[in-house]
Formats: sequence, structure tokens, C-alpha cells
Amino acid sequence: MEMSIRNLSFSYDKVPVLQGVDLDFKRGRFYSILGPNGCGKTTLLDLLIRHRTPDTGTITLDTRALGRLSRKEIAQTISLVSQNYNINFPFTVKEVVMMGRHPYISRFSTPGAEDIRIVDQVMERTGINGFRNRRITELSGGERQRCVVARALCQDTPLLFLDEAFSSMDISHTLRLLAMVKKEVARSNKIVVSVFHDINLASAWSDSLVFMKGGRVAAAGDTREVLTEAVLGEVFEVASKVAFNEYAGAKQAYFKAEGHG
Amino acid sequence: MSIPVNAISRKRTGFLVLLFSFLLVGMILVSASMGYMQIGPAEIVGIVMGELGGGGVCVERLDATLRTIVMEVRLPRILTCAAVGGALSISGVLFQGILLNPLADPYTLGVSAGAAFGACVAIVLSLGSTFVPVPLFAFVGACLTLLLVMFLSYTGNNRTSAFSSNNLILSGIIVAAILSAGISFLKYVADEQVSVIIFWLMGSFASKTWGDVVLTLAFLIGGLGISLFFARDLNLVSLGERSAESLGVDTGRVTLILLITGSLLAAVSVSVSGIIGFVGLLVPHMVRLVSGPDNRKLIPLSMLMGAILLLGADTITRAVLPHEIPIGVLTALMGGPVFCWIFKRSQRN
Repeated sequence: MEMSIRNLSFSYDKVPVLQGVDLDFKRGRFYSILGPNGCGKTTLLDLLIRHRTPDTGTITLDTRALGRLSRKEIAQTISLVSQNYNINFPFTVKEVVMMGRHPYISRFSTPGAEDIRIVDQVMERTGINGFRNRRITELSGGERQRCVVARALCQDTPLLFLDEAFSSMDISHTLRLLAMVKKEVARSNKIVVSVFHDINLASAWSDSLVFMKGGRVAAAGDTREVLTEAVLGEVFEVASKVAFNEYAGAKQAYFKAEGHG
Repeated sequence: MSIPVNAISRKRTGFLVLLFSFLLVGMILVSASMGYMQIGPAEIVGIVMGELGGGGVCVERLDATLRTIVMEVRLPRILTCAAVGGALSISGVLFQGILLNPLADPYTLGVSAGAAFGACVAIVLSLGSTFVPVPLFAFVGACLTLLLVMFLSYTGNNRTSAFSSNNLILSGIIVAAILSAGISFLKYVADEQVSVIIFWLMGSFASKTWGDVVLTLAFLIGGLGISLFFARDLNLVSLGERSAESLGVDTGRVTLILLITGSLLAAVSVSVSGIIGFVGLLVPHMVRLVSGPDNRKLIPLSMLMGAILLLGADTITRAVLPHEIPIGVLTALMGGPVFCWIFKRSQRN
């Protein structure tokens, strides 16, 4: 599976949000999208899951245009962990995770043995099995977010989009889930595209980085090549020092306490 | 280990549906036997069986008066009432699910105000008796209100989130407020007709006919079918629009269809029996305590529970109380405190 995006543009009420975006996502790689607030990261993901339709440009999955796929086909190809992990009704954790199997269960049938096996396995691996029968509305934000990630993993798709999927999790669970996702990328040749705010976390886990600013791709490429002081200065307008860190095994960015501007 | 749990939950739902159905049939029999003239349940069954069999042996042995009371007076009222209770409850489940708000009810979008306004216009202009019946005016009023509310809350450019929950609720409140003022004005100019308006607004199942039964049951069956068809999608909508779409649900379409379904169920209910509050709000909450939030269980169970409760209330006002009081008043007086209790209890947990 490979996703290529050509000349993608989108505007809300004639206010351009994305302009001429070209990107390629190749299988077996972990991509991170970084950029200031309101630069169009979430809108880009919206277009890629066909939640919204682009004004111009094409999105192709292998050889097929995204627009020609049915909703169900898309749901069997792409899963999304959205920024919003609020769930308004008191479903149990298990019920929420099972919703990830929705694209595979026909309308009036119940989950099969395979669905139940996958859900049990994912709940075990994401460490939410301990509260599988609790109501989702009673959990803390981080716990709820882990359930939503587990739901997306159950969808078992070749592409996984994460929109700030770790924003409420503690560092231990963030690392645990990132390791899980990373393993899936290597083992099942998946594509993961994750929107991050934490530059150093993104650098440590991603094969490639995409920097966005003002609805355009400002820089994109291999993590080690593209993460530089110049790029951070241009995209975020902050001064930084970027250096390879032995312990993290990746380039890390450092910022001064009073270093704005 | 999970397979039996799943099977148990399915069996449990089946058991509850069966239990509620038995209760409903029992309630219908009890209600039909109560009233100015006590008629035994066995006789009622005999009369109904006789009618269904095309006037067989049983009928001849029974008093023709009893037959008329059961078949022409009590059963139409009872069945209309049960159907309206079911329709309002399904409507409540749908609105709470679509608007992602457990405090929503069938009247949140102003359907009741629209129906009431339509009925008031008909009554004040004395159109009711001459051309078309008042309920038809009420139904048209409700539908026009729904269209107006949807027009106000529609954000065309942004096609996937065409109807946001907040927009719908706000538009509903605004339109209902305008219509309420209109109703007050009509009451003011109505002179001696004002008591007719007031009684219509408070709701009643008195003197319902088989025509009402057929009408409400037709809407109820249609509404139930559509709701059950989209029940699983409605579950996913509670995850939020983006998540639901990424799981393959066409959120815009499901929302629109269920919005219209819920509104039509509410509109036909109000047209037939006036404004009956609290059923659509309360029943989904009560049933959720037993069944959990899964709409596939919630919708059929709420329908049955709503039918049982509203029929119970109507039986009380018809046969137990010394004077019949409007059913809308009774449901609010009984439902309000129960709702307070459930609300307080759910906050503690």
C-alpha cells in the first residue's frame, strides 16, 4: 500500500487552509507531521480519510483514487485516532474497542470469533484489559485515549493516522503504545502518519518528518536530514539547538528557557 | 471466555424484550378491563378473538354493550396511547443519540411548538370542523418547523458536518420561542376558543378511533424499522463525527435520516394526542440503566417501556382518578420527580 498526494488544496469559505500539498507515504514507514497550531494538519488528515473533499488535487492509494473507494473500503484501509476522544454515552471499554471491528461486521450480525480474538489481544497489549468492563465515561482522559487508540488498532488497516493520539497519556503509556505502533509498521509493513506537537518524541520514533506551515509543506524528508535548526526557525519561529543525542538514539532539539525569537 | 459473555448479553436482551412485551400485553388487558364498567380480562380476550374470527360464537353470547365498550371505546384509546408512548420513546432515543446530549427529547427541535401552533391556528380560525381535522394542521405545523430548524442550522459549505448538534439545539430553541409567542397571541385573540386550545395543548387520548390507531402504528412500525436499521451507526456517531466516518459511517446521511425519523414520530404523536412531556426524555434514561447505551437494545426496549408507562398513566387518569386530568399534566407530574431522582443518582455514580 502506498499513498500519494498531489497538488492538494482545500479552503473553508474561500479561506485557503491547504495549498498545493504534495506528499508520498510509503509502506513500512512511520511519518510524523509537525507544525504550528492552525497550519492545516488536521484538515489534511480529514481529506486523507475523506471526511472532507479537496477542492483540487488527487489522493491515490496504490493505483486507485481515494474518491472512488466506498466508505467501507476506506474504513478497511485507513484508521484514525482523532484528537477528540470524548464519548458521550456510557459504553463499556470493550464495546468501544469492538467498534473498531465495525467495517468487518455486517449490519445485523454480531462479532465473530476472529473479531473477539483481535479485540482481546489488542486490549491485552495496550494494557487496558484491566478495565475492560468499566464505562468509558468514568475513565480519565489518558485512559480513554488509550481505549481509542486500541479501537483504531483493532481496525487492523494498512494505514493508521494518529492525530495527537498521545496528548493526554503519561510518558510510560506513550512509549508503550508508540513501541506497539512501531512494531506494527515493521512487522505488517504498515504506514503510520502521526501528528505530533512534541518534536523530540517525533524525531525519536519517526522515519520521516513533514513540517507544515500556513497550509503548505515547508519541509519533508528523512528525520535526520530534515530536522535542523533552520527548519525549526522557519516553521515555528523559535531559536533552537539541534544535536544528535546518544541516549535517545536520534536528533533532539533544545530550546532556551527565555528563547523565544 | 468472551464468547459466552457476548451470548449472555444477547440472550439477556431477548429475555428483556420478551418480558417487556408480556408486560405490555398484560397492561393492555388490565387497562381494557378497568373503567366505569369492570370487564374481566377473559371476556376481553373473548371479544377480541371473536372480532378477529369475524364474529364467531363467542360474540353472540356476550353483551353487545360490552363489545362496543371494548372494541369502539377502550381498545382504540389504549392502542393509540401505547403506540404514542412507543413513538415518543424511540424519538427520544434518536434525538439523544444524534444530538449527543442525554438531555435532548423529541421536542428539542421545536416539533411540539410547531404542532401546537398549527393546531392553534386551526382552532382559532375554526377550520378544524369545516375542512381538515386539527391533527392534520398540527402535523403540517410540526413538519414546517422541522424544515425551518434544519434550514437554520444547515451549514452548506462544510458538507460533512452539515448539522452540528449545537446548531440544531439553538435553532430549535429560537424557533420554539417564536412559536410560543405566536401561540400566546392566538390564545389572547381566541376568546371563548381559548379553553379548546388549552385542553388540546395539555394532551388527551379521549375519543380516539381506529383511524388514530392505524395512523400511529404505521408511523411507529416504519420508525422502528428505520431506527433499528441505523442503530449500530448511531452507536458509532457517539464517538464523534470524524471517528464515526473513519469507521465507515456516513455520518451526514445517518444524522439526516434519523433526524427526520425522530421528528416524524414526535410530530404524529403530538398531532394525535397533544403535547405529552417527559416520556421521550425519561424512558431512554430508565432503559439505559438496564440495557446500557447500545442503541440496538435501547431502541426496542425503550419503545416497549414507553408504551407500558404511557398506557399506565393514561389508565390512571381514565379509570383510577375520580376526574380525568390531562395526560400531559400527569406525565409531567409523575415523570418530573422520577427524572430528578435518576439525574441525581447518575451524578453520584
